[in-house]
Amino acid sequence: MTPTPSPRVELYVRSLASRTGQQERIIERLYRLESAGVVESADVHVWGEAIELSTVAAETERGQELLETVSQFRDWAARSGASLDGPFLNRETESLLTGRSHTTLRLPAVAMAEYEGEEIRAVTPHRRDGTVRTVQERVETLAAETDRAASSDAIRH
Amino acid sequence: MERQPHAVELFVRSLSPSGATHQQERILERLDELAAEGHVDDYEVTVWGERVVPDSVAADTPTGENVLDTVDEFGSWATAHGVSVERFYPEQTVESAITGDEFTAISLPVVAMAEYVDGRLHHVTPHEGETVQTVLGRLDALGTETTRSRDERPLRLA
Repeated sequence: MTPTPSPRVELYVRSLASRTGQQERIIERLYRLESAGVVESADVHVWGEAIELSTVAAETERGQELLETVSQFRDWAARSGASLDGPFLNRETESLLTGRSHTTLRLPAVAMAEYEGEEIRAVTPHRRDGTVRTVQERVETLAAETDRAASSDAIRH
Repeated sequence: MERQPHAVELFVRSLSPSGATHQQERILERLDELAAEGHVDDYEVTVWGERVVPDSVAADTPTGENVLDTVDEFGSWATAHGVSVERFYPEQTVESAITGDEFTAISLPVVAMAEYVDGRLHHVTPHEGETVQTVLGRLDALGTETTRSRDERPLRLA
């Protein structure tokens, strides 16, 4: 059996400071997995709390880039029978000033994408068969898979 | 005198921060106009989030280091120009919801703008001197100012 190549990990956060220590633990763990070679690289990006569609902000290069990333996440979900609708929520709001309604895409506090080359291998958080898989759980799984691979390697030799 | 490239970087908490969208949209619209009129050459938007805790794993990442370096650079620019940016980057003591540990967090402004001429930091808003100069105020000034008056007092740093 050929080993699965180490994924390149991109972590997206609303803000560098989180209210709980969870984000800190995720980044710490990812960096350890990077040093251990379990993940090829781990990068952190700030994407803010939301993006309002049909705005000048959404039309900027950064806005387009962000929307493209979310659209690739959704393609992955469609291919793999997962749903991102909970974490990535489109919300209709009405402007008090203009009375016009706007669609705002709320972004999750932390999301993680794993890539093999340019191809997305997994996105968390997601829901599949009624179960929510969090970033934290996914990071633990990546760590456990390596531990298992390492111990079976040790037995073989 | 030939005009030097005038590049702008806009730092925002979010592409849709609650309550601040209108102001941010006006700023971006104004930047589009100024770029179309040739007052600025190019502008870029960077999302930097709401806060950063200097003593954290997140602040040690390249992204976190960039944010802290930018805040430092803005502070140095302000000092060199006899103004201050401090009140726009207030430090708060935050208590962890889980461990109860206290740590210092720097709040980032909803929108901040850096102008670079020839690759060097030329101007930062918002800042406070005798009065506060806002991002929108600065953009209005850029739109009305002629190239010559903008360049006639070049930045002189020792």
